[in-house]
Amino acid sequence: MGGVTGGGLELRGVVKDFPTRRRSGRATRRALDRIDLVVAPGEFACLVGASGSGKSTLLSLVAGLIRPTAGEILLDGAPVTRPGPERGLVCQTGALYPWRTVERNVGFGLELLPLPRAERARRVAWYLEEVGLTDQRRSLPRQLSGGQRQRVAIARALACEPEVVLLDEPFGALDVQTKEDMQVFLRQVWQDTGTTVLMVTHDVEEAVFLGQRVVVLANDPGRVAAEITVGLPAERGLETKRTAEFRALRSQVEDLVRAGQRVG
Amino acid sequence: MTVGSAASVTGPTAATAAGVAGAGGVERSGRAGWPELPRRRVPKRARAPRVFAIGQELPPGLRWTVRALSVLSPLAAWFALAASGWVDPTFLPSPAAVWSAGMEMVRSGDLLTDTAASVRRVAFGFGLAVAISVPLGIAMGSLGVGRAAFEPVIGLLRYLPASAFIPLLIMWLGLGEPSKIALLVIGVVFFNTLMTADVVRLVPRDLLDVSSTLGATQWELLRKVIVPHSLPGIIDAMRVNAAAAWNFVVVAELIAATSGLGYRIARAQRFLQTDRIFAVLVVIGLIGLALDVGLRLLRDSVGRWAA
Amino acid sequence: MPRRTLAAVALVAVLGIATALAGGCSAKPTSTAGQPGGTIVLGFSAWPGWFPWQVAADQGLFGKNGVQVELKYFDSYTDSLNALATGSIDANSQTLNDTLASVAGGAKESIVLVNDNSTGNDQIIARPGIASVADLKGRTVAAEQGTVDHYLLLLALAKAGLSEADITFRPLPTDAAAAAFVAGKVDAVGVFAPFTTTALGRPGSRAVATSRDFPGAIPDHLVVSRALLTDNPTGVQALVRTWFDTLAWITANPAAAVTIMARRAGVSAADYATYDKGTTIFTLAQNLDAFTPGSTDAHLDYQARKISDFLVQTKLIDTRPDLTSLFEPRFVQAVKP
Repeated sequence: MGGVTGGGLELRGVVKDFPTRRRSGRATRRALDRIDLVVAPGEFACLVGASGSGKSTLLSLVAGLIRPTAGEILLDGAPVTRPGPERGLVCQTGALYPWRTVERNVGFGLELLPLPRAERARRVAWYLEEVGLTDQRRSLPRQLSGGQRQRVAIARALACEPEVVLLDEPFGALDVQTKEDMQVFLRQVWQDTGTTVLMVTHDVEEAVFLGQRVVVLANDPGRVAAEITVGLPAERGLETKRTAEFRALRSQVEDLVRAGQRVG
Repeated sequence: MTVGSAASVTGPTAATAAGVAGAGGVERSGRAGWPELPRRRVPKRARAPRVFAIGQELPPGLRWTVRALSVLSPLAAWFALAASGWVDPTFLPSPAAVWSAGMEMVRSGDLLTDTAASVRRVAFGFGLAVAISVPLGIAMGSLGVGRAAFEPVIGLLRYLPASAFIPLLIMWLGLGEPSKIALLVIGVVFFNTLMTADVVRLVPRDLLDVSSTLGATQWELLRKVIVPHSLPGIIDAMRVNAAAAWNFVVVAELIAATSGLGYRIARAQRFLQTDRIFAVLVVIGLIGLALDVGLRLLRDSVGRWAA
Repeated sequence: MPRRTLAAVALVAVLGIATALAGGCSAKPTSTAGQPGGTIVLGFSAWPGWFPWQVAADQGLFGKNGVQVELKYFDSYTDSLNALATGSIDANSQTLNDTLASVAGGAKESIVLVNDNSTGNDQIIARPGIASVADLKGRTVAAEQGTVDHYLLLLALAKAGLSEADITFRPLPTDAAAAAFVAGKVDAVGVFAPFTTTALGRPGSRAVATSRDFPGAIPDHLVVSRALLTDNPTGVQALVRTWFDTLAWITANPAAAVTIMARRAGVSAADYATYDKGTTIFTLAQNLDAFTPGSTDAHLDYQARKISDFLVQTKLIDTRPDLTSLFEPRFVQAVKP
């Protein structure tokens, strides 16, 4: 495996305003201001920025859960209007169905399709193997650790063969060791499936480790401050984090984030 | 003790009494010169009675003892009080008298017919109320339009006492079972709807969002996400309202009943048969308990995943 | 608040509550009926033979006979029966059959006076299309469970060769029964005046049986608890005297009396006047006759035995009542004509 199966994402002039409850002053708050962004098919792109920079809002827009105030969002040239399995979502809480076993969680999206049961079972088994949870297929989510739950969430999104996988701070709630294991795991999965990935994170180290490109958002209003190409080799392990190039890149991105953090 | 750098003062014994510059550059006075902080005297008794410690579960043996006592003590007091002769047996019949009155009603077949009649009424009334309130509550909890449309009306109707409807129900539905069942429905349906809606509203936003991205339609969201997630909570609400419905059956039987446990109490009252009244109350209590335990078991088996 | 002040306020509050409780306990929590000069609680409900008590209260006739009376009106006749049986009131106005039922259940009560006999004001009223009691077969009839008009219904059915099994009986308090009949929910209803006026409001309805058909079957009484009898016979005597004084006052002031009684009944004076024939108020002489033992319908002990048999036979009661010391003639015997 390794061929590109993902689609290309394009954001043109995306603006998002939210109504505010303040009685005085503006009636709306601008969360995102004219975002232009392109993610190539099969690319792993990370979005970083200080809190309030609208990273999660941007992801919700791409997922189709909310609509932009202005501008367009295109997937393979077609406009995004509503949520769908071609844009899979993995959120920080995992959002697994607590009453379903692991394998029935992974199979949720497939159940909605006209798929013979045997075919569905085959695919579920493959993705469970991919995320290393075959032995836990009959467990309930509450019996799993945080890292295992996120793996189930990723498998569930991938089982629908999305063109792009959207991840919103998926490892934010995990401890450092588990987080690093999950980062290595995610890169492996990405290389195996060739899906386009857009991941939001506040952890700069994680963004540099995982991404081929890091997009820095400034806040208030949210806008693209900078894009950094990560010139690190395709094969990356945890030891990569100790190299000089890695540390230089990380510092560079961190400075950009901090620069974009200024209020107003 | 450090010298010079004001930013690293570490204790009340700071050298400078003149003041310390805070983070914002504003002068704050140091802690020198403060009186010693009063300390509470720790009570001598190291072994405070564990029974009354807040937030502590009792050890299992003690817990079961207290539970048993809470049931057996009133029972024992009842036996003692009746035997002492202080109270007129008409006002407080002895447990033995209550038992024999109960047995007499069993033998005459009255207890069976009365229980069957009351249980049938509650089954129909509560069943109908659930059939109305659960779908309505789900609609109210998941759809903005559902909430806006129904909440004001239900919020108002819920405050009308059901027994006030009796004359109207007699006029609209007559004197037979329909008016009694309608009374039970009125007493329960509004509360159950609101409680169901509250449960449904608690389905996490994330879960619904992710389900949409997996391709679920509105209807699939309802069927496959909202309903399974809400089911244990809905059963809990039903448990509470089933108890209310069971209590209500006595009121419902004021409408021209010729059988039923509430009816039996009214008849017994006329002839000062307090032993019968007590016996019927015991039966009512036991059935209510069985109802509660049954629904609790149902909830536990359905909601095993909910911790 | 400084701690001393708080302690002082708490102390005062505790003392205040303690005093209130103590004061409350020392005041008599139960009736004073037992003492000579104490207040007797007398209950009554809607019936032309009992509305004179309202006249007595309004005209202060109880006081004139040296007795303090709290007159308690009951919307539900059955509630008044239960109140006397459990001792929450000292005296009540009840029919003979209902008194027998209470006594059968263990209540300790005695009959000291005959107010009247029902001679038409208890009625079984049926909708148009039902010409007689025999036509009630298979129909629905409402009446107050176990009390006087249920009893009248059974008497009427028995006379027509039927029993309760031949009809569908719907127990309802009398006022609700009348309302249900008017609303068309039942085919017939057993009611007493003033609810007869309500029930007859249904167009085309008429009485198919009345208490006139069963003379002597429904006497109405002043019934007192045995406790009152033993503790305050003077008070009981005063009640009986007041009754006859009231009758005299009503004879002397008919218009004023009807105004008071019609108001209590909730009907117009004209409607109230129509109840006249249906309730035959007993004179002192009739009272004396009734209380002497005998073996015709005119004698209370005979009626009591007859009614007891009927109540047991129709399962309105389970066991026969004990008739010893049920009737206390001495109070009417002591009244000077």
